[in-house]
Amino acid sequence: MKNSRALLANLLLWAAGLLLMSLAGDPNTITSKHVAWKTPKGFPPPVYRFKDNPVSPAGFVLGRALFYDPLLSRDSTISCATCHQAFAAFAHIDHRLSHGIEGRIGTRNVPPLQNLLWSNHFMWDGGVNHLEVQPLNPLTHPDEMNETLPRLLAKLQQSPRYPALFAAAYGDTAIRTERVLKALAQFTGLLISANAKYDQYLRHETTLSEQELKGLRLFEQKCSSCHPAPFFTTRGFANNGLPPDSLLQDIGRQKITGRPEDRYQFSIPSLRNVEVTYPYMHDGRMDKLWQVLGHYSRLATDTTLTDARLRAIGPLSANEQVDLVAFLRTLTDRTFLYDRRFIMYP
Amino acid sequence: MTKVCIPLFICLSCFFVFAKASPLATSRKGNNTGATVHRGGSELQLHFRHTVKDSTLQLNNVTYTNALGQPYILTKFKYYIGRIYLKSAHGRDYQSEEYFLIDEEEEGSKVIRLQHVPPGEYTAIGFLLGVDSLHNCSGAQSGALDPLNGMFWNWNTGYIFMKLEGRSPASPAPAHLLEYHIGGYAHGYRHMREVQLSLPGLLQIQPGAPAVVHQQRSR
Ligand code: HEC
Ligand code: HEC
Repeated sequence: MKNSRALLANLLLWAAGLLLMSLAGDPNTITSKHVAWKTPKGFPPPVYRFKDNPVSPAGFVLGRALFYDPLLSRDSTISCATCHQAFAAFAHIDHRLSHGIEGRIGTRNVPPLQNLLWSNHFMWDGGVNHLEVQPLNPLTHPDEMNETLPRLLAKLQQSPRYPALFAAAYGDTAIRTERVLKALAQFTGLLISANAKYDQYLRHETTLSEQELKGLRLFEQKCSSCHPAPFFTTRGFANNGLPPDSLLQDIGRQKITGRPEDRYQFSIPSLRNVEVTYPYMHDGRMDKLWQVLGHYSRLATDTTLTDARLRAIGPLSANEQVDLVAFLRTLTDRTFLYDRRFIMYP
Repeated sequence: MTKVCIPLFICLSCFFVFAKASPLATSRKGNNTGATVHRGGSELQLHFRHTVKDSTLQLNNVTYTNALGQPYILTKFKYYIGRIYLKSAHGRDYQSEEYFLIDEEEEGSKVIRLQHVPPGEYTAIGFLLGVDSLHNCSGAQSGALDPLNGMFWNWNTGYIFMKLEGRSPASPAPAHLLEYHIGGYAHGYRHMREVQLSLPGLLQIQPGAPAVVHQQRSR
């Protein structure tokens, strides 16, 4: 009697579980609700507005499939997601320099992918002028995916999966560069992070601790000249006083503009989700936030600095550094890091 | 980039402007800019011929000599042409927004066919050699501007307007290569060129009346 009741209870639980699972459905499912987006409160109007590339569930699904597919690399070993990991705000945790096919090491640290719709240039040197053409770099770079466009298009055409995905997104099975790039932009464009504790605090949904508030005030005094809210970057370029790496010989922005005054200037990075995007700096030379703060603090004694914004930082006491780190951690947006839309389930 | 002291004389020359009659010579007002869009009109063909000094350019198998007496051969010559317009006494009467990639290796690419050219009497033809700034900043594009055509720089994004490649024993580059890749749209690096050629006599485009004009242009 007891046994059969337990069995019944088990069965019921199991049935309920099944029902729930079928209600939740395939975790990869994307509906129009999932791709609806709006400019978060406090953000300016976006630079990239999906003009000529209207977002659709099928377009997003295609972009996500491409982003997670190693087929995009010459030897089918590396996908965009190999270097850009969801839980690291799409940076590459614990890798100083990018790792491409056959273990080839690149020359720069993988930046996070977030709020790209509000960016008017990409890469550490700002060499790329448009979100849609950005993937051409990793796709064809010998130290990254090392593939050619004609081969990539042929592989997609021959694959059992892509013609249907392109047809769903574009109405026919034609696979062209433009379609590949626009679908990728639908995925990368929707990587929007605006729900950190700091954002919730601004929206009066939560409060910051005493220490976090002290850190915020210090940050506004010393760091906002280059890292202002809401993106925690001016989107400009600067040299933040790092000694140049003699092996990498990376001249930064000068490579793009040719102007001597742009030597060693790099794109000022956003500090959203900075807690999880380590290592830091264009060459990933620092692993910990306290190392970064130690660097800025030491600049107080550097007499060669020309940027007044750096001279204004001054020495940071141990307490101030702890407060600043506490504040930087309020920029972590866990809804973004664990957003199921951005993950591909096998 | 290696500096090579080899002045090359490439003449971009000879336009055969050929207006073919179109049976649908009707025009209608279109779009909100108020411009007249001609659905009928004529087809205008532009034929491009490339010459070195006075002879027709031949890739790979002819050795040329420059003014310094240095021999060279050419293996590739490709460039963009866009925003073609026709001028009459009233101003620009016809403007195409399309881009074309002309490639010495592809016979078909050396004939540009413009459709729906309105009837009129034209005095000059103009175009952009290269790609305008807007199209350098517009993201993914298809057709002539598809990055698949190998005329796009990825790391410093923008189109390569012209590729001229070859070899010369006088070149200090690896394998004695000559490589001229010209592009750039940003301030201080604008390398597109406006070209306007006045036509010898009037080009009359009339339905049913073919016209041929030869235009020689050296660069
Ligand atoms: C081998 C590792 C690697 C792969 C694979 C890779 N990336 Fe990246 N990605 C990087 C690195 C490194 C940078 C920074 C490069 C630089 O600044 O020169 C970057 C930069 C970017 C940026 C610019 C971010 C910004 O804010 O400036 C975007 C967008 C991006 N990648 C998208 C992609 C897409 C889409 C793919 C797949 C087609 C991809 N990446 C594949 C390593 C990689
Ligand atoms: C003069 C402008 C400037 C000021 C002021 C400035 N930074 Fe930066 N910051 C930069 C630049 C530029 C980089 C990237 C440098 C590089 O990679 O070469 C950077 C990088 C960082 C990074 C690494 C981010 C990453 O993803 O790699 C952190 C963290 C950071 N800054 C925090 C701060 C803090 C905290 C302050 C105030 C104490 C501050 N910055 C002040 C310009 C500035």
